[in-house]
Amino acid sequence: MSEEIFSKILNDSATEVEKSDFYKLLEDDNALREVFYHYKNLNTISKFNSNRNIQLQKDSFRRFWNRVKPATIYRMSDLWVRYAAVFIMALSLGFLTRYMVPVNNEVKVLTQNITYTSEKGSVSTIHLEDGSAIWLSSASKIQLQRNSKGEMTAQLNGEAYFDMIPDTARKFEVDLGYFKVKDIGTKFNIRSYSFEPTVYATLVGGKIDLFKNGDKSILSMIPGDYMNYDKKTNRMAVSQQDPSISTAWKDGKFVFINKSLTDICLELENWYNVEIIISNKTLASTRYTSVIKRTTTVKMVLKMLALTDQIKYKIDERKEVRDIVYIY
Amino acid sequence: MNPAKLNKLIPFLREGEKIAFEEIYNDFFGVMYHLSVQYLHDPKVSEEIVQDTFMKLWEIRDTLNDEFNIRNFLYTITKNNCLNYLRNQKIALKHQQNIQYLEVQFNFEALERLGSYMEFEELREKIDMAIAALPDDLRETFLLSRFEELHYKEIADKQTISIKTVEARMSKALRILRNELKDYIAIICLISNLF
Repeated sequence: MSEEIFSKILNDSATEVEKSDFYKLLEDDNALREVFYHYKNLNTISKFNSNRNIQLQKDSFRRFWNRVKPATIYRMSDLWVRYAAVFIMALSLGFLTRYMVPVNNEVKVLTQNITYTSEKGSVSTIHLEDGSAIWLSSASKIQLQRNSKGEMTAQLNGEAYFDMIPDTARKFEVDLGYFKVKDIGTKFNIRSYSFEPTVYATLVGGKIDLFKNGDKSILSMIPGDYMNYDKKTNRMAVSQQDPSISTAWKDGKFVFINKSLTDICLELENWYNVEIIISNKTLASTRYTSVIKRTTTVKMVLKMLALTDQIKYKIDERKEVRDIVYIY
Repeated sequence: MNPAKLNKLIPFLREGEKIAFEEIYNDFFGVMYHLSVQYLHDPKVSEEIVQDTFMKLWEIRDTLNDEFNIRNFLYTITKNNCLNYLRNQKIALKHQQNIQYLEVQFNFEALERLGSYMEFEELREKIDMAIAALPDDLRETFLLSRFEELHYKEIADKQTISIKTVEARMSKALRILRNELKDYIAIICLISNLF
């Protein structure tokens, strides 16, 4: 038997006649059959990673996820978010008590991990059983952990507003990877999206301390302090700013104070689930100041921007994937 | 993805987190799909089989402990799904006694003999390492022949070298691999026979 046929069979490129001859041969020859099995398997193993079909993989995952997607109260379909972004108070108290408090209604110390996600274009509120509340902004994820001593840690990717009831017995820490924020009873806002180069913290009331490693505080913040931390240079800077600007999102507003169009568009992308491409470089760095309601549609926001300047835009509406807005 | 990173995802799998499932899906889809296609010769069915494998993972997510071996699980379920599919096909084709029946039969038996995930990984790494260690020019020629299944003539054209050079490179590459993988005689047979 020729090596070429063997190779063709293993690569599934043999003709019907070749296949027929080959398999008949195998049927009568035990030894050859064993050799075939061996070669077949080795051929499989040695060719892994040879051709990856990324598109198929993506489509396959999408179909899989559609089959298993959990029905949750706080997830909105993309279509909704796109043009009629609606501000929702996603997690009601009733929904939460099921998770936060054991069914028998005794308030116990929770030791397990709990993760909450807020999708693009939605804000979720998490109520803890002591009355504290956490608002989770668009496309944000928070992981809450409580140990047996009642110490709570939160890991945040995105933006959240914390309204913590004073409790000296309870330790509460937000771990941002770059540093930790320790709190005793305060109201503060943290913004730490992985796509942004800067982490922001705003203190509305009370007191928070920032820690790197160990117990030594690197910064104590007082109300009105606005801290930004550059992930690249590892530098922290504190200034004073009206805290209502940083927390406007939780009341359903965008507040842009002297922000570049690039930064504004990042924010819009994150909320409306659209992709924005600015082709005009001077325009990209032009700075704007505005207050916009988040319930405004993205079309309306673009119209408003167009009114103030020479902005022209075009929306490319696409099925299944997010739309693209071109600004030129 | 290394096992340590995989295990870090387990708590998120338990929670039914999309991101965690997506990461694992992306990491394993290629391997699982390839495995199915090799024995089933049917891309559509293969994709479904992989999806069903992940459905199983989804169904048992609550019960996963931190030490759970995801790779082993996905590999075993995919393999079993393929075996079941082939078994059903065999039954359907049984009375026809045609070539298709024989093909299914032989693929089924080959797959049954495919080792555990550990053996399989080990072998895969050995082969990949040996190929990676080949000198650049030999490796390029070798990979064109092995993965893209080009004939010597096509390789010669593509690399703008003579057929003689292709032959020389192939035999040199095989000599090196034969030496490197001498504990795995069967692979040498495979490589030598196919090229």
